[in-house]
Amino acid sequence: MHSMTLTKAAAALAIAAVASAAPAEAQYTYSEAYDRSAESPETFAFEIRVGGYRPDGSNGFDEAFEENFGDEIGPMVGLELDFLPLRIPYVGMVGAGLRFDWAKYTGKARALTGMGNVDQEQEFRVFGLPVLAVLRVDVLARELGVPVIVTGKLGLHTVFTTIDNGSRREHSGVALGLSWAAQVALELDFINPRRAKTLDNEWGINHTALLFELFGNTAGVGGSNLAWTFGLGMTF
Amino acid sequence: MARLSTTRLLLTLTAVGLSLPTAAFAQLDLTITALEKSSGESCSVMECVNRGFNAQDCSGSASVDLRPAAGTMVTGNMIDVWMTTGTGDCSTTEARNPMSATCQHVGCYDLTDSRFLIPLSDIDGAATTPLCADGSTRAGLNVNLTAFAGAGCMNQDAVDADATDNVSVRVDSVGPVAPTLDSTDLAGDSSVSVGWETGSEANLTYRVLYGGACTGAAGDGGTATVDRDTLTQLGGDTDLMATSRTIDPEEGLGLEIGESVGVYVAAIDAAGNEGELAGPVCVSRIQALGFCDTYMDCESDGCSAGPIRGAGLGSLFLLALVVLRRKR
Repeated sequence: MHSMTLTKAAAALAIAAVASAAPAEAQYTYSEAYDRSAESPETFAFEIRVGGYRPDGSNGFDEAFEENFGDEIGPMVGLELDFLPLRIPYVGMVGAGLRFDWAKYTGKARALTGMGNVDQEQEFRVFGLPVLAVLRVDVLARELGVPVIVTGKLGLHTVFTTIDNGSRREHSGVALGLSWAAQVALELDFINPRRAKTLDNEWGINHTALLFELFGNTAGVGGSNLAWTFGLGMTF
Repeated sequence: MARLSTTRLLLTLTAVGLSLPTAAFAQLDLTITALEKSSGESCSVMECVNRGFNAQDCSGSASVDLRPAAGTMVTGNMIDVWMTTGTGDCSTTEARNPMSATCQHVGCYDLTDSRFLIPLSDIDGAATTPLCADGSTRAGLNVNLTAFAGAGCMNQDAVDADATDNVSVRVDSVGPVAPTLDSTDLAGDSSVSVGWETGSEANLTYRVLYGGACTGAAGDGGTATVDRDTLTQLGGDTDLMATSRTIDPEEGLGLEIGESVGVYVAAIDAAGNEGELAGPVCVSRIQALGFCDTYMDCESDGCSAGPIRGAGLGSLFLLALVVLRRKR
């Protein structure tokens, strides 16, 4: 069920990304699209993401989560906004970002006396709020014409968690940790460089990209060592 | 001077005399302003009037409150009322003669306290299609009432179109079918969710009741044999149109661990008729283990935030930053 949701979401993102670029027009080249002198300022990056996230931890957390919520991985949906005011020549952009992540897991409680699951729904909700330092390496795309961007992120992760056991809230808390992410993105300007240029001229959107990211954090309840996400990103 | 005044007075009186009959006996314009329900309640809000009469009204003394438009007078202060449950028009002679052609005679009613009160029993008594009795339709019927003024009582002859008006009143005396329940047995400690399929009628609301043992028809949409008066209505309704209810077996049903109770659901149609009970769903309270019971860092007041995993890694990272800064 969840994997189907993820597939649909990923497909929707892909369609949205491809739709932003129409059929290629030969007379307008990829390198022209990367003509930075003609570009509008590129200071922000925005991402909309969906992926798999499974909270993990120690002291029996993994076992308890497995027993109560099975193999659920969300999906986790997220939005990220990066402010990238600095550019390091022949490397990329540096700045800071803020992300909002949200995921919900449901499962049935179990009977104390070994009768299996009971008809009592539980909900485990995670709301992640990492503040990140961002290094966006775009030298391949800008200098060599290879439309690949590699991004690293490191920062402080705050995760808010609520656990409802049927009609009662059993837990509501916040945990802190370090946050990391490694991202690879495929810039989509090459599909239709003219359209990409128009998008910049008319809307100030410099580039759009499909992204894949591995990320994680060291927060306690609600944190996860390793998760993944697909998404659509843009810089402006 | 005195002569002029007299002339003016005469002219004024003539004008008043001429204008009065014209205004008073204008086109007959009747409106149902309220339904006097059998409970004694006067239902005057348009939404309530549109819902019409229900089974309870059929068994009591309900009536239609019909009022002429403000400022108009009704010839003879009496109306002759005919009805049809079809689409026919009772103003034609053919519809009333013979009386059983399309329309039936309801009765003649005097204007009292600026209104005509037409008892539902008169309408039901005149109807050839059952309105209140067994056999009436589950969806109810719209009854068209045609009133004539100044044409005598039970007039089957031609009538003046200006002295005729039509109004419509709805009668729905049959409750909706019992909902089909999603489950037969539910067990939990702090919550279970009773669900059912929505009925075919529009604007249904649902009432959840509980009580008695878990016996009888269960979860098949069939009707329960339990006496409804022995059941208790579940409190805390917020969305009456919802097709599920989350119930706390302890606080909502008052169950101790190991106890069970039957839960029933009845649909209520727009007219307020409550249908047959579906159920019971047998709800049992058993001790359940949730996430917080199985994760050792959780107490009764919640879970601890847990250790910051990889704290060592974080420390190394911070240390590296400090070292790099000093080298510069």
